Amino acid sequence: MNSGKNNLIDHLFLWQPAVADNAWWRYAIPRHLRAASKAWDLATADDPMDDILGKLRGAYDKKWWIFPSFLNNGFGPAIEKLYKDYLPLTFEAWMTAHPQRSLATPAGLKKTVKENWARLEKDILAEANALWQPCIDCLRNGERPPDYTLLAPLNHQASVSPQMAKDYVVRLKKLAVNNWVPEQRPRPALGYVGFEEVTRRGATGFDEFIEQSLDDEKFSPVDQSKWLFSHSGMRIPSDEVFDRSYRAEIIRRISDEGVGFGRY
Amino acid sequence: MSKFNLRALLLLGLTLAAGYGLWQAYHSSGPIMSASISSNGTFAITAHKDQKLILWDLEGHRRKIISRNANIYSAYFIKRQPIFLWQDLDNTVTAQSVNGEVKTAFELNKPTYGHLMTHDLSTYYYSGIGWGIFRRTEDGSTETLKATDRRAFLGYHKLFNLSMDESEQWIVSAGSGEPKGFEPPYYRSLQEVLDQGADYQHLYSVALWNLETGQPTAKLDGNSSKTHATISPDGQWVISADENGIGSFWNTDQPETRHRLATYEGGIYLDDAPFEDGDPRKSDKSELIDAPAGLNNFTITVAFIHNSEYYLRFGNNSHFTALFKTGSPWPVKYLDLGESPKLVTYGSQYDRNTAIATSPESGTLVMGHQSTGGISVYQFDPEELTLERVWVVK
Repeated sequence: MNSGKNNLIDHLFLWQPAVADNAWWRYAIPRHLRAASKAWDLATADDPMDDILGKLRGAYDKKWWIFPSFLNNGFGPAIEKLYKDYLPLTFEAWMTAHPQRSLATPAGLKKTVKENWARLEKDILAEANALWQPCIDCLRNGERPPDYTLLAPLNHQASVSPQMAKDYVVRLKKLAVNNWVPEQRPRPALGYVGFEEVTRRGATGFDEFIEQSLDDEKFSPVDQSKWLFSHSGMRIPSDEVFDRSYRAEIIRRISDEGVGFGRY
Repeated sequence: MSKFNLRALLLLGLTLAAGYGLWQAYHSSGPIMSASISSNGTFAITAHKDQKLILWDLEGHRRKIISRNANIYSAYFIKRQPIFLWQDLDNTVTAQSVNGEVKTAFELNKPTYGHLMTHDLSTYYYSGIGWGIFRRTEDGSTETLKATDRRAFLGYHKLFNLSMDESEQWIVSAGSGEPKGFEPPYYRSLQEVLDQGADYQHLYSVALWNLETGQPTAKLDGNSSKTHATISPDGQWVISADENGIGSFWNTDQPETRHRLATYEGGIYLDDAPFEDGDPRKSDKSELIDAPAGLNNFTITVAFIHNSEYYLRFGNNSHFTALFKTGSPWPVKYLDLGESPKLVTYGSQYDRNTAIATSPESGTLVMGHQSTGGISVYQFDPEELTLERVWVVK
C-alpha cells in the first residue's frame, strides 16, 4: 500500500466505517493519514478484514444482499417503521408483490392517504410545540433534552422549533412524492470520489491501479443510494444534516468534551 | 370591457388551463422501463413506469397509447414481424399487430420480467421475478429451462436480460457476474452450478443456452456485478459488459475462449502479464483511439446496431456510446448521443437497461430519458459510422 514516500498512503481501505465523509477529511484523521490519495469503504458479507487487506479481495463481492427490502424503496422501510400508525402515506405500491405493478388508486385510498397526512402533520407539529420549551429549558440547565418520536430523524438537533417541524413535513411530503427516494444522492463514503471519477475517460485523477483492480474483479462498485439512508443519521440527506451531525457528534466530542471520537 | 365580460373571460381561461392540464396528465407518461423496435425500424413499442404501453410510429413521428395497464418490463417486438408482445397487469400476454389485430393471447400464471417470442409466434420464453427462464409452447405447456431463485430481481435490482439470435437457436442470459474465486479456475463450472441448485437455479452470470436441447452449452465467465449481454443476430458472437467496467466477447463456436474489450482509458487488461495491478505493462493501450472526456466503462447495456458487424456499449452517467466491431477488442469510434434531454444512461439505472433498444437490421436506436416519459430516436449510418438523433420527444 505504501508508495515509497514517507507517511503517504496510496489507498486506504476501511471496514464498514460508520462515519461520514466530511468528518473524515475535515477533522477526524491524523495529518499523515490525510495524505492518503484514495480511501475505500469496503465491506463483504463474510470475509474478515485480514482477508481484505491481505488479498485485496472482496470489495463488496456482489451477492444476495441481506437487506433486500431497502434496495427498491429508498427511505421506504425507515419511514414505514417510524410512521407505522399513519400508513399508507403514498399511493405507490411499494409493498405489492410485484414491483412492475402498482395498486389502482381508488378514491377511498386517496382520501385515506390525505387524512393520514393531515393527522401526521398535526401530530408532528404538536410534538414540536410540546417539546420546544422543555428542550430550551433543558439546554439552559445543562440537561439532556428529551428525544423526539415523530421527529426522530431530527434528534441530532438540540431542539426543533415549530418552523423547523413545518419544514420537515414539507420535506417529508416531497420525499413521499418521490417514492421515498431522496433527490440528493449519497456522497461516496469517506470523501472518496468514487470509482467512476478515477476510471472514466479523461478523468484528471485516472488511476491505473483502480482500473486494473476493477478489470481483475478485485473491486466492485456498489450503489449505496438505495439503502444508505436507512442508516440512523442519514435519513434526511441534506448538507445541513451532514454538517450538523459531524459537528455535533464528532467535533464536539473531540474538541469540546475531549472524550475523543469513537467513544460510545 | 364590462365586469361581467372580464369574469367570463377569466372563467374561460381557467377552464381552458384546467382542461389542458388534465389533457396533459392523461397523455403524458412515466419514464420508459422497456423498449423494443420492429426489425424494419418503422415502429417502437415502449412500456412506461406508469404502466402505459405506447406504440411509436418512427417514420410518421406519431404515437399511440395501447394500454394504461401494462407490465412495465413487457414491451417486445417480435423479430421480422409487425407484431409486438406485451403483458397486462392481469398477466395476460398478447401478441398484436401494429394495426391492433390480436394474433395470440394467453394468460400466464405470473408477471414476466422480460420475455421473447419466436417469429412464428409458436414459442414463448420468459423470465420471472426470480430470474428463471421458462418456455411455453403453443399447446400451453410450460417447461423450466432455468429454475427460479426466490426474488432475485429485488436482490440485484436488475432484470435477468434475455437475448435471442435470428435463427432462434440460442438465447443468451445475463444477470450478475459470478464473483471471481481466489484460485484457478476462478469460476464454477456448469456442472458445479447444477450440483448446487436443480435446473441451474444459480446460473446468474452470462450463459449461452441451446434452445434445441433446452440446456446451457456454455457459462461465459469474467463479468462482475450487474451484467448485460447480447447475442449477435447471426448467432456468432456474444458481447457482455457490466457495472464493473469489464467488457468481454466470445465467438459462440469457441465459447471457452474469452476475449476482453478495451476500456477507454486503460486499454486491454492482460490477465497473464506477470505484473502487479497498477503497472502500466499490465495493460495494452496500443490501439486506443482519441476520445472525448466523460466516457464511462461502467456499462448499462450493449446492443447491436448494424447487423452482426457493429455494436454499441452504453456507459453509466455518460452521453457517449462506444462503437465496436465484432471480433475486435478496440473501440472503433465514440458517438455523442446528446446531453439534453438527459438519457436513461444517467443515474445508475441498471434496472432500466431495457429502455435502450436497437434494430440491427435497420440501424435504429431508441432510448428512454432519465426521468421523463420521452424518447430519443437515432439512425446509424454504417458507411460514415455516425449516429444521428432523428426524433426527440421530451
